[in-house]
This record gives sequence, structure tokens and C-alpha cells, in this order.
Amino acid sequence: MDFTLLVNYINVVFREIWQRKFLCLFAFTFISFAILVVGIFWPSKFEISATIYADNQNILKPLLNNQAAQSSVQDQTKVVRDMMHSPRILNKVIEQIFGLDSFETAEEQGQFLNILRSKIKISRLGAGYIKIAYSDKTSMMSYRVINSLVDTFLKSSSEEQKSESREAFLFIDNQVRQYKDQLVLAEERLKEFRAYNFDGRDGDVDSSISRLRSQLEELKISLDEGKITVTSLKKQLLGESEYSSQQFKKSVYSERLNDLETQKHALLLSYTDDYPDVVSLTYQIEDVKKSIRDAAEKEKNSGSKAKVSASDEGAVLNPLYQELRSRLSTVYTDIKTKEKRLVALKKLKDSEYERRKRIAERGAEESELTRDYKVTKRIYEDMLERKEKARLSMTLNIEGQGVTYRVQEPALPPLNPTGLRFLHFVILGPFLGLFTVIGLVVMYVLLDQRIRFSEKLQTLDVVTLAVIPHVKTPFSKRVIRADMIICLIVGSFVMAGYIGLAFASKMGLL
Amino acid sequence: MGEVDHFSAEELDQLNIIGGGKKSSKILNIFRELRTQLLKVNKRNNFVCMISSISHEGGASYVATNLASVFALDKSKTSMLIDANLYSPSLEKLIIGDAQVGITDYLSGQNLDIKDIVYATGVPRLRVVPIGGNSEGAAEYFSSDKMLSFIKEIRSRYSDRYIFIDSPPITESSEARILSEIADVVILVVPHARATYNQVESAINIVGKEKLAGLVYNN
Repeated sequence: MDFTLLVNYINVVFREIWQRKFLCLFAFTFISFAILVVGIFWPSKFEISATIYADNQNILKPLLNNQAAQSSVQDQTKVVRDMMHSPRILNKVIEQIFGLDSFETAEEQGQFLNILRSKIKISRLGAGYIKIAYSDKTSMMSYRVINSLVDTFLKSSSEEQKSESREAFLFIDNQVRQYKDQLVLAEERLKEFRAYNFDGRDGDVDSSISRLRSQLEELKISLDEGKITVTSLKKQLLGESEYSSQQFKKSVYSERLNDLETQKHALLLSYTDDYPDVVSLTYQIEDVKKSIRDAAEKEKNSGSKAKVSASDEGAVLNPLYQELRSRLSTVYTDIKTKEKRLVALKKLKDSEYERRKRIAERGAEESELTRDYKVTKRIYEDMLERKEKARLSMTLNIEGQGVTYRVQEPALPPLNPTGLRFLHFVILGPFLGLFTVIGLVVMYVLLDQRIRFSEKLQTLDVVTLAVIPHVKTPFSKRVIRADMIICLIVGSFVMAGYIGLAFASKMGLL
Repeated sequence: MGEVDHFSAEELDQLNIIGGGKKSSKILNIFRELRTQLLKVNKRNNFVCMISSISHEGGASYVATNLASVFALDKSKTSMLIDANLYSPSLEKLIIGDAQVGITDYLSGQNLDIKDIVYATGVPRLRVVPIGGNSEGAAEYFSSDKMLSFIKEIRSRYSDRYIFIDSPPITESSEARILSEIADVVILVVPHARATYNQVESAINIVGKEKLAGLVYNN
């Protein structure tokens, strides 16, 4: 907005005010007096504040550990507010200031208590610092109330701390007992369950089944081997006769001859031929040779026979045959034994399967019991530890070591009332009246659509031939002068009345 | 109709009429400028100019009186002011002595001559035709042939006479519209804080741009 336009606007506004001078004067008078009246009835307020320091070492903090939310300083402000607003403390304050039975009815006392509560303002200043402010009509009353309030709060807080720590200990002690009972119960349940559960564990059954399986496999292989051995032995037995022939005897003698000759040669290395042992051996060799010749003779005479029977001369039991028969019998016995064992192992395996089913069925029950037991045990141990902390905290509080509040800034009696005072209203009235009137006229000029500036005509497509200034005739000048005198007189009366009313009010004449 | 005594400076001041003195030189110059512009627009020697306001009490009579006075300042020219403002006639004050009859009496058919309704004023070379006492049915009078012949007659009688018609507000009366038909040029007076932009536009449309000489903003 350029300067000329601003000047034009100011001129227009003052012209509008002058055109409505009496209305404006009335509005000015009304607003000024209204503010003065508000100022007369505006209550004086004497606000006093005290600062207390809240120690953040809350008794529950170490006790609650991480299991519960820890109280912060913000919460502390709330705690202080709740406590100070509580009827218990406020009633004590009322009793201290106004004495006992100062109110006729409980309702009156309740109403006063509410008023008192609304005047107490508690706010957080910084870490741990809490401001308590109180405002009343007189300085002395404010001072007495705030001192009484802070003292009562501090005493009550200390008592409450002790009571709180005792309650915390009792609570935790009670909890410990309850958890102990629960733990014993869980332990008994688990014991009972295990006492009646012979099936063992999953791992045991699995290893047992695995072992049985491998045994069964081995047994089956062994049985197959046995059966093959039987077949083989049977074949061998068919090829062998039960009794042996002369040829067999001859071969036995030949073997004996070889032995004797070996012994004789060995002796001859050390002795001569006439050494008795050598001589004896020579005779024995001769006898054996004779027996061989006899056997050959008999063999020749009897001719060659395929089978030697028991009735045959010189037939003796065939040792190989006997051996084979013996081994066959042993293998048969072994197979029978293994078959029996196989059946037994299979039964055992089936029973192990059954056992595993039973274990699986009871596993869920066992795990629940175990979990109950473990959780209860952990909580119980934790609670036991906390109980000891609670005991320590309680002892500290009883001995006065756990005080959390102290007065940081004591309350001082105020010299002047706070907020708006009567003088402010007296000064404010005419100014606000004047500015309101001007403001309303400015708004009227801005909102009204009628043309007040010749420049606006330039937007039309028509020539503005002339702009005629406001002309004052001698008559209009006289009228203006007269109006001005009237305005001044009325204005003077108004201001005189205003100042008179303000003075009378200040002097207490009203 | 002879010459009468002229108004003194004080009387002119009282009547809010500009004279040749220093006191009103600023406003006099404004009206002189207005006269120049009007002569530039209309080349005729004795044109008929209607002055109408956008709204009631808009200052049309003031502008018409002073414009006629400024034209009359030239000793070689005369001007005539016809009061056609039925609702707020104000030109009788210029006449020294009594004005018995006026234009409405003449137009209503009374046996009057033109010279009977033309009066000399306290301003040199300025004649006035007052409204008269028969203003009922004025719209019909103004649209009559007699009105046309009246204008023609006073125009033809003096070639150096400028005729100014003080009319009612154009947006509020039909008479002003009828008179604008008779006039050669029209001046619209826009009063301070009494007319909206739309009202001014509407008045311009009523008059028509051909006849409209321009606007005069009256503070």
C-alpha cells in the first residue's frame, strides 16, 4: 500500500468517524466504562510458589526391576498433584488454617475444598523439580496456605513412603509364599507323573528299537549262513561213507612210518646206530613197514569195493564222516536256537513300538508339567531375591533413609498482586475504547462497497472530468465548530466521570 | 427582465457558489477545468448539459450551479440553469426576489410566456428557471413537445447561452432519463460514500456513452 493511499484511507476513516461522532463517542464511553467496571470487580491475586525436589530413587524402582514400568519424574509430578489435591491433605490444610469445625456443614467444607484445589497449580520445572503455586485474594492467606500445604505434603509423603515400603514387602512376601506353594505342587505333580511312567524317554526307545533291528538283521544273516552250512554239510555227508577201508589203514601206517623215520634221522645226527633209542626206532620202523605190507596184501585180496560196510573186514568208523555228522547236528541246533531268538526279538521290537506310542502320548503331559515347574521355579527364585531387597528398602525407610521430597525453594510472601491490576484496567479502558471504535470504522470502510476513492472510477471506461474537494460553507463550519464543542464537553464529562469512578473505587468509596 | 443587484462575496460564500475571489481559487480552477473539458467535448456554442447525481443528495445542484456560474464568468457568454430537480429543488435561492412561477407551471399549460419563468440571479449573466409550483405529472411535462419547443426556443434566442439542467438522481427517477434525451451532454456526479460501483455502471448504461461527457467525483 503506497503512502498516498494510506493517507487517503486515514482521511476516509476519520471522516466516517466524524460523520458518526456521537455514536462513536457513545461506543467509546460504553467500552471504557465496561472495562473500568470489569477492573473494579476483578479480584486481586497474590500468587506464591514453592519448589520441591523429588528424588527419583523410588522405593519400587529397584524392587520392580525390569518386570514393571518404572516411575519417571513426569509421573512424579502427577503423584505430587494427586497427593496435594487429595481431600486428606487439603482437609489437614483447612484444619491448620481455619481450625476445627470452621464449616457448619460438610457440603460447605467440600465446596471450599474444591475452590482450594482449583487454586493450587502444580507444574514440572525440570528434572525432579516441581513447582507448587497458589493464589488468593490476600498475600498472607496465600503464604499461609502454601506453607501449610507443602509441610503437610512432606510429612504425609514420608509416612506414605514408609507405608508403601512395608506394603511392598508384605506384598512380595505374600507372593513368595504363593509361588512356593505352587512350586511344591508342580514338583509333586512331576514326581507323580514320573513315578508312574516306566516307559522311559523317546531316546531310550529309539536306541532300543535300533539295537533290536540290527540284532534282527544280524540274526537273519546268521540263519541264512546256517542254512547254507547245513546244505553244504549234507552234500559232503553224501560223498563220505560211514566206515573207512584198508587203504585208510595203510595211509595211517605210512604216516606213522614217516614220523618214526624222522625221529630216527634226528637221533642219528647225535648218536650212532647202536644207540638204544635208535635201535628201538629201527625195530618200530620195521614193524610198521610189515603192517603196511599186510594191509596192501589184504587190499589186493579183497579187490576194490565202492563202499565199506560195517560187516566188512577191517572196516572202521570213518572219522571224517563222524566229524561231518557232528558239525551238522551242531548247526541244526544253532539254527533252531536262532529261530527261537528271532521270534523273541520280533516280539521285543513290537513291544518297543508300543512303548514308543505310549511315550509320545504322555510326552505332552510331561512337557506341560515340566514347563509349569520350571516357570514357577524361576519366578519363585526371582521373588525370593526381591523379597530380600524389599526387606532392605523397608528397613531403610523405617530408619528415615528413603525420603524422596525436600523443599528446594521455600515460599516467600509476595509484595504485589500478580496478573492484571486495577490501574491496568483504568489505563486500558480509554485506549481499548478508542482503538475498538477506530477498528470498527476501519472494518466498515473496508467491507462497505460504496465508492470512497475517486481512483476507483478510473477502472470504468469513462472520463473523470473533475474531483471536487469537500467544501465547507460558513454554515457547515459553524455546525462543525458547534459539534466539536459538544463533543469536547461530552468527552470531558465522560473522562471526568471515568476518572472519578476509578478514584472512588480505588479509595474504597464504592 | 432587467439586471438585478449582484451577490456579495459573503452571500456567494453562504450560497456555496464560487466567485472570482482568492478564497475559492482552488475550486474555481477545478470548475474552469471542467468547463474547458466540456467545451472540448461539445463544439456547439449553446449546448444543453444535464447534471444528474447517482444517488439522492449527491451534489448535482451544487455542481450545476457552479458550472453555470463558471460559464457565466465569461462576459461574452451567458448561462441558464433549469431546475428540474422535482424532489429537492434548490435554485430559487439564487433568485433575488420572489419566483412566482417556474417550468412546471409553464409546461402544465398555464398561459405563461418563457420570459415569465426566466429569472435573473445574483450571479452576473446567469439566469434561472425555477421548478415552479406544479410538479405533479412532471415526467409527462418533460416528455411533452412543449418542453422540446421550450428548449429550442431558449437555445435559439441566444446563441451564446449555455443551458444546464439540474435533474433528479438518474438511478432513482424516470424524469432524469427523459431529460437526458433532451440534453446534448450529460454529467454524472458520483457522491462520496453514497454510490456503489454497480450503481455507477448502471447509471452510465442508462445515459449511454455517446451522451455522457464524463463523471465528476464529489467529495
